[in-house]
Amino acid sequence: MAVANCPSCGGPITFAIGSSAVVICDYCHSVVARTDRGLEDLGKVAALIDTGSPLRRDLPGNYRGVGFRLVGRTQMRHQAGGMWEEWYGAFDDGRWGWLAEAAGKYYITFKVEAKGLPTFEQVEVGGRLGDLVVQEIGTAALISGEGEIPWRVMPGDTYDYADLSGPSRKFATIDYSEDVPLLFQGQETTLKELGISINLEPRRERKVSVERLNCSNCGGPLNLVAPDQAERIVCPNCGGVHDVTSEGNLKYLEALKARGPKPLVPLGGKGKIGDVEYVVAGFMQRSVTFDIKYYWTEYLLYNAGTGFRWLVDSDDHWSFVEPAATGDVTDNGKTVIYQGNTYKIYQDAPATVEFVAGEFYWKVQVGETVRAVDYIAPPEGMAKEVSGTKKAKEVNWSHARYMPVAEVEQAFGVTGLPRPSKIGMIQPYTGGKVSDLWAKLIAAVFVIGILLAVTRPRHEVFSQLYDFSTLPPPTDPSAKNTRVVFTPTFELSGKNLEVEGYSQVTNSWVYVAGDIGNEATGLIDGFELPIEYYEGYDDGHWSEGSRAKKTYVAALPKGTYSMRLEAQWDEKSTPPPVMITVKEGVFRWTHFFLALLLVTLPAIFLGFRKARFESARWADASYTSMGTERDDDDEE
Amino acid sequence: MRRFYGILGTLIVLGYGFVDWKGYELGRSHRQYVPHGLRSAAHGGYRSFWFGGFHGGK
Repeated sequence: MAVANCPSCGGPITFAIGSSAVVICDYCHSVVARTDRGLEDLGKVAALIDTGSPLRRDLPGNYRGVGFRLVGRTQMRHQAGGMWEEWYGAFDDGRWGWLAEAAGKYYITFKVEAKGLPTFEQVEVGGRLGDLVVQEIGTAALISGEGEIPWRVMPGDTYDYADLSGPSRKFATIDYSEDVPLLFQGQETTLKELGISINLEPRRERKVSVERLNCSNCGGPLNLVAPDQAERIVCPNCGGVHDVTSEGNLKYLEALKARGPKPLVPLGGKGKIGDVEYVVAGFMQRSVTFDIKYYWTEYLLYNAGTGFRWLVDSDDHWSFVEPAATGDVTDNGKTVIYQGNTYKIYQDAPATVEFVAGEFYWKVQVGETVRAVDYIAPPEGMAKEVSGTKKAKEVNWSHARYMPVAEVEQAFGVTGLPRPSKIGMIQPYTGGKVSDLWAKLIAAVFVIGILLAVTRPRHEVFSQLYDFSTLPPPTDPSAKNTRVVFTPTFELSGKNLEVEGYSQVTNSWVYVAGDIGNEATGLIDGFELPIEYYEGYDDGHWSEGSRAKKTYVAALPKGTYSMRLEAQWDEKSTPPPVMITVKEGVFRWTHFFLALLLVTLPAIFLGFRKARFESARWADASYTSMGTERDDDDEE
Repeated sequence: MRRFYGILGTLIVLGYGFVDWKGYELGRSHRQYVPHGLRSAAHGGYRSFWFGGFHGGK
């Protein structure tokens, strides 16, 4: 430990850690560096801004079994106006840990050796470094700081950086503050994982000093739900825009001229989604423009433990939106993969803020535009929002879950929300998927068919050749080409019958009408065998009809049967003999194919119904469901 | 809709199995009972119970 006096004010300063680069004087905020020639005053930084952080200097912790102590911090400002803090932990094993704190989230990183890092000119949002994805690139300005700091901070300087995110909460920063890029790698973490018990610390102070304020423009009440997070508050009564200052006061900026829609879920309203109770903190209307402007509204929800979430209302379809870590998303351009689900691109367009009311955790303003890319896998969706310009760019991912209107009403205790009149972007198709059911039913038909064929084998019960023309003619002269014969008896076992007639007719016909009868019971069943066959030459051989005819008779009860056969024939010819064969237990292919057809027809109908639903879903998309960009001709 | 299709499909499959197990035929039945001894009736008596006529031929 080295104790010295501040070269600026003479106050005591302490270099407790041998590897610290600078110490910021607690008295005059001078940045004092250790050099070979002694202490060097690098200039002054501003006084610390009260951010309401639960962390403080000298706070001990333990990360992955190694103890540390927070010995200093810097406060940095993003060029877009946001602010974050970097705490510096001196670890017991001699390492420095960088603990970034932003919007209630914590990221711990350690400096690692890395070669081949992209330059700031080369690095791009969405670019990859191993399994890490560049989530944000920007330039930070040092505002303030305290304690011991492991790098040579220069008051007033700006620093280029790139933040990367990876699967399983991996996080990294490429620091461009030196000639050679430096890589800091670690993960998103929690105070619990850092061994910091927040309960032992003083109560977190609110960024805004009171929860109930009045609008500077109209005097109306501004009821804050997240006073420690609010960056901008827009009066819901008059549109008066207020910024939250570092002192915790509101600074009136302007009154928005545009009037927007009335929130369907009131600002300040509470609702329970899952096990978490949220308060509606803010409300905004956004739009995208294609041929016309398409509007939707978003409700910013807040829970002190969970943070911010969104409730989105688009064409009366609602969805609950949660942030997704960039590193957990595999972006393939036309598709993205998140938590094992693949999402298809639906829309890629600039989204503009049209109206805001309530409080927001960033300095939202009307006209603010981001590139919004929507991907869908109903009933879920992913949204990518890219903001900023080339070298101050940020990508944010969020995951949406479809919420039926009734669920929104129940969650927030509201009634009468309008029902959707068209198909929503991530509205689930309630008809369900039937292809798997269809396959199972088809398989069942085959199984039953095989069982029937195996357990009821076909066998012949009667077969005899009849030469009807040799039988004595009837007494009725009008029936001179008709003969009747009764067959010998045969046994039936109670299965269906196939009756076949075969005759060598040529350019003629013979018709056999038969009755199968049981003399004991008097039960009869009839059949017809119209046999006809014609052939000739007319630009080649032709033929029509068949010399064999089959018909089927439903199963008759077990017993002894005979047949009455009555034959008629063409009076211009003498009929050849007719072979009559009866088989029992025949497999009915007609029934089999009919069952397949009856099972398939509803599936086809439901398939068309689903296709129509999906067609309506994609009608408003700027991409087709195949992932190709829709041109103007497609929309006509 | 999936549930409805599942029920309908199951009924169709079971119906198919039942119809073919019992040996039923689809369509109009020609089945009836005739008095005993009809076989020995004079020519045409039996026919009066069942004769569909023929409409074939060229």
